[in-house]
Amino acid sequence: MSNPLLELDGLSKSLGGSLLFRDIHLKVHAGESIAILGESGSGKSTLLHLMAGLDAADRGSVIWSGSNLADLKPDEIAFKRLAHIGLVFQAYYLMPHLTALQNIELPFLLANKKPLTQHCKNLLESVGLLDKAGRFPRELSGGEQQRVAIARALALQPPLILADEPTGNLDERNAELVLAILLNVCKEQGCALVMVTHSEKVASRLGARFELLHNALNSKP
Amino acid sequence: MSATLQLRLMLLWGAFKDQPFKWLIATLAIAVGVGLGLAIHLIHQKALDQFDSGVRQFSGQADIQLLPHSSYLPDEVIEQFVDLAEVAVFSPVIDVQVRLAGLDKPVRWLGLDVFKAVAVTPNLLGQTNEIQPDETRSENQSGATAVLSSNGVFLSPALKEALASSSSSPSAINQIRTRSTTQGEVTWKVMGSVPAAGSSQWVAVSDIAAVQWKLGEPGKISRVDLKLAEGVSTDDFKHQYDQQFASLGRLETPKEQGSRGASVSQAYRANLSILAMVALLTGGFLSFSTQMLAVAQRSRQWALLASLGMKQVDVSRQILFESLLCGLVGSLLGLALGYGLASLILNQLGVDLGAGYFEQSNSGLNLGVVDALLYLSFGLVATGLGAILPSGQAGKIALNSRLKSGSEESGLQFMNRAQWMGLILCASAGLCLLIPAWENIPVGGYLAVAFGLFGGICLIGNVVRLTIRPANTLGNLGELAKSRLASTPNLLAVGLSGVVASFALVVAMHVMIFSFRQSLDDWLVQVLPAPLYMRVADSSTLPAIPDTLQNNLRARKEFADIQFWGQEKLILDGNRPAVELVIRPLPLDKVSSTLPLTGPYLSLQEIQAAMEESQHVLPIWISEPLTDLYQLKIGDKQKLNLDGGLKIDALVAGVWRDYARQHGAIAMPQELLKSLYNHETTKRQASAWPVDGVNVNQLIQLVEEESQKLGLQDAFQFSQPGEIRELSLEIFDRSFAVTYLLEVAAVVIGLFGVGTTFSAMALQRKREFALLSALGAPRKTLLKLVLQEGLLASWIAAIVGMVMGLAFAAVLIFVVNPQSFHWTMQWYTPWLDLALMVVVLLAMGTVTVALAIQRSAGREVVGQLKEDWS
Repeated sequence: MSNPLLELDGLSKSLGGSLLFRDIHLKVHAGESIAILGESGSGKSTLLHLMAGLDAADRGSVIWSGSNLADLKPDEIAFKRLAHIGLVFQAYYLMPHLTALQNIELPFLLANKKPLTQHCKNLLESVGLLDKAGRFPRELSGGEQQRVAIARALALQPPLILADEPTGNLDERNAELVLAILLNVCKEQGCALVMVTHSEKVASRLGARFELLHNALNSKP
Repeated sequence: MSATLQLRLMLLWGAFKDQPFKWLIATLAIAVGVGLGLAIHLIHQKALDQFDSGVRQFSGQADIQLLPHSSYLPDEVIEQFVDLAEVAVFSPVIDVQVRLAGLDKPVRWLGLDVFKAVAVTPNLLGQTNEIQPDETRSENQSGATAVLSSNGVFLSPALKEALASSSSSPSAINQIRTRSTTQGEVTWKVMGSVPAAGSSQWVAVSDIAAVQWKLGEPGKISRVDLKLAEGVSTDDFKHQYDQQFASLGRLETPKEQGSRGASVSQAYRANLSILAMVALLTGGFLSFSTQMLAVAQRSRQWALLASLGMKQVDVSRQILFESLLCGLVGSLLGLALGYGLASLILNQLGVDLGAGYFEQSNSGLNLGVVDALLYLSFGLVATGLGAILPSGQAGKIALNSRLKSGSEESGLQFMNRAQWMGLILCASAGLCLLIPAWENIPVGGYLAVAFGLFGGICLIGNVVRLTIRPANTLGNLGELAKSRLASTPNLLAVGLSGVVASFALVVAMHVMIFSFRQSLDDWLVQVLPAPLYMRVADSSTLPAIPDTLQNNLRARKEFADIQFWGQEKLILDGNRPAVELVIRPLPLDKVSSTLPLTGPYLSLQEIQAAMEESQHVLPIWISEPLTDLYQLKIGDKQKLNLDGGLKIDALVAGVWRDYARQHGAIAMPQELLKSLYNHETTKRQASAWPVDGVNVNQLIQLVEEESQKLGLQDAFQFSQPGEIRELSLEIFDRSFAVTYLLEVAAVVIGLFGVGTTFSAMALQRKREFALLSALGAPRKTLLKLVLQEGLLASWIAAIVGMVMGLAFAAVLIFVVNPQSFHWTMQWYTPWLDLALMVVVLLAMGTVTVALAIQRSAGREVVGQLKEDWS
């Protein structure tokens, strides 16, 4: 069997002197979809940031397809993240001065590649926003902004998508729409998905569920 | 401390902690502006005080003086005062410059009639024993006043000290020697001192007849000091007798001389002060830029405060409070800086800032309370003006309660309308150019620069919109940078305003100084055609080049040509400094190739026709200042009063450029003056051309040989055009030393402004960089992106600043300079220097931004991402 896309090996993290979690183990393979549940302040977002290499653990390792992040320099992690991971945030985080299409083209530029405009338009179409390619984020609704963020995460066709409460800022109807789109495009693209959420309902739509409780990550039936 | 003040200080401290360097630079810019302005004011005030005290000291208690038109009054003029009932006492004075062995500058030697002078200028009478200056004015001490003997001289303490330090036996300064062509070497016995002479002045006083006799000026006096009878006013006396003495000289009060002293350097002082104000203006712009960016960045703070109950007016007042506190600190620092700088400059360059208008003084400076408050208020006004717009804007933001919506750029939407204001200001700048000068101060020119500066800055946003068009799709990082800048034209305009202002002003000043220097260089080449120039080394020992020597030199076959000429001073207007009358060989058919004429001039035929019409008409060519200062123009007829009652009917035949004599000069043909008026000037200068095969050094040797035959040793100074040119340019550079200093100050402020503005703009985007980093952009890519943005923004600043700077340079060259100094110059563009300035600006703009974000880029990504995102 090939290396897992993401492996957490004995991960521990404290914040401001209080322990968030310790000795966490997790493997994510291609095509899997995993939900991580937890209450506010349980450390689930921090765990996701560790998975993405945005933050460093106190102990333990984060391994991307066999590469231990501890062995890489910050720039190497960043560059590897471009190809390996697509990130979706709760607050969308679109560049306000770029159009919807340009926001999707952005990862290509960061990877020193010429944007594949047609590919980006296809992604926009897959999230149902092709007609809004030229709109700026301020001209889009919250749900639409998050759909653009999903398309951006998929732009470089990473094998793994990490999503941090992607529906947390949306109303129920939009949350349902965005979730459906995210699951659908991940399936279409063959991406693995790790999603942090506090919603049982959202978590139930994913293949496997884990709960961050009492400083430990436990599998949830 | 009141709760309001506590809140204000708390908010200010927060803003300061957020961007300490930007605040420090804005404060420093104000300090530099105030400091430079105060330093120039203090130095010039010192110079004028010194000049006034000199006039008072040498005029004593004289109510009015009779002064010559040029150099001397005839002795006989004294007789005219004998019967004037309005005159209580008249005291003739001879005032000459004498060189003494061992001293590097001449001594002012006064000849007085002691019995007359005791009533008018008792302070100038010598004392045989050492008593305090104040006591010399006491009547009880008059018995101590020595009767001046025919070979006695009294020396000022400073002169005694100088002679002592130059002598091998300092204690034995009992006698001094002078040398003149008529009397040869004369020994003077030092009788005592002139304690009331200024502390730093070299003054010698002796009997008037002795000076006339032994220093070679028999029958001539320099002035007559008059003390009027009780109840006679100076105005009435002047009105009544002005005409009577008009042929010999002019009646003038000591006060009038003081005001003429001030006018000598008025334009220079005004221009330097304006340059200091430029530094202050730059500080004001940096303050504006700091506050405007801060207001935009702190928009949520204002909205939050408003939602908590703070009034709109209090939000506005907070901005004003912060700016004025910054201005107050800057101004206080500026006062200290100004005082220190003035002291330093006084010691290094003298009171005339190296321009050569006044003698040097080493005495201390006084900073009055009024001056201190005035310059303090300048700093406060500059920052206050810079804060008006930001404070109003902060109030509006608070009113609209922008707690969550919008970005910094949306807080600056009102600036979309700035283009109209910009166009109106630019048009006003153009109209200001039509305003004439007021008292030699080019008010219109400076207003045009000020309006142009504000107008240009209002248009920066439009320049951004016109030059940076975002691409529809992103092809590379450069297009990403363009998209970013294009989305924030107003934010960019505010950020760049301080940089553009300082860069434009630096460009303008540099182009003006460069053009002036090049024009001076061209002019020197034109006015120095001869390979050799000579002049009398010391006119107190040799008043003129002897006729015999002139004839002997003309007879030598080694000279292809040798011309002798002289200069006299001529007062055309009692309120203005004397103009120089250059009486030189000037063949009428060769004037255009001899003088650097500007504009049209009378042809030979026209001059001849005028001379035929009126037999005594003498053509003259005036330098440019005379057209402005005396409203003379080509074809005008002007009466010129020379010494000895000689009146000349002059015809203005042309105008020439003369950078040597700021107060004006008149070139007059020597031969015609002799033939029409039988007047021969004192010739102290000559220019010589060798025949082929003879070099300049051989000519010098020849002149020295011929001089020695007449018993003249080292009587002449020789110079070649190259040396004169070098010396002139050195003097030019020294004169502009303070201007260069101001230019450097503006560059430093501007560059600091570039650094802090760009880095502040970069730092405010740390969340954006955090996102790019989270998406996978390595630090190198982020730096590359920021460098491209910095380069693009700097390029806009450079282009706008350059265009504005060149426009301001044109105003300085074609309006301000002719109106201030009354001479014109040609435009020269220092392309290499300008290119270098642009490169430095681009480098500063990009490097500082890169340095600013280098520390934070790619680090603490999560923390920065968690900050509020809009």
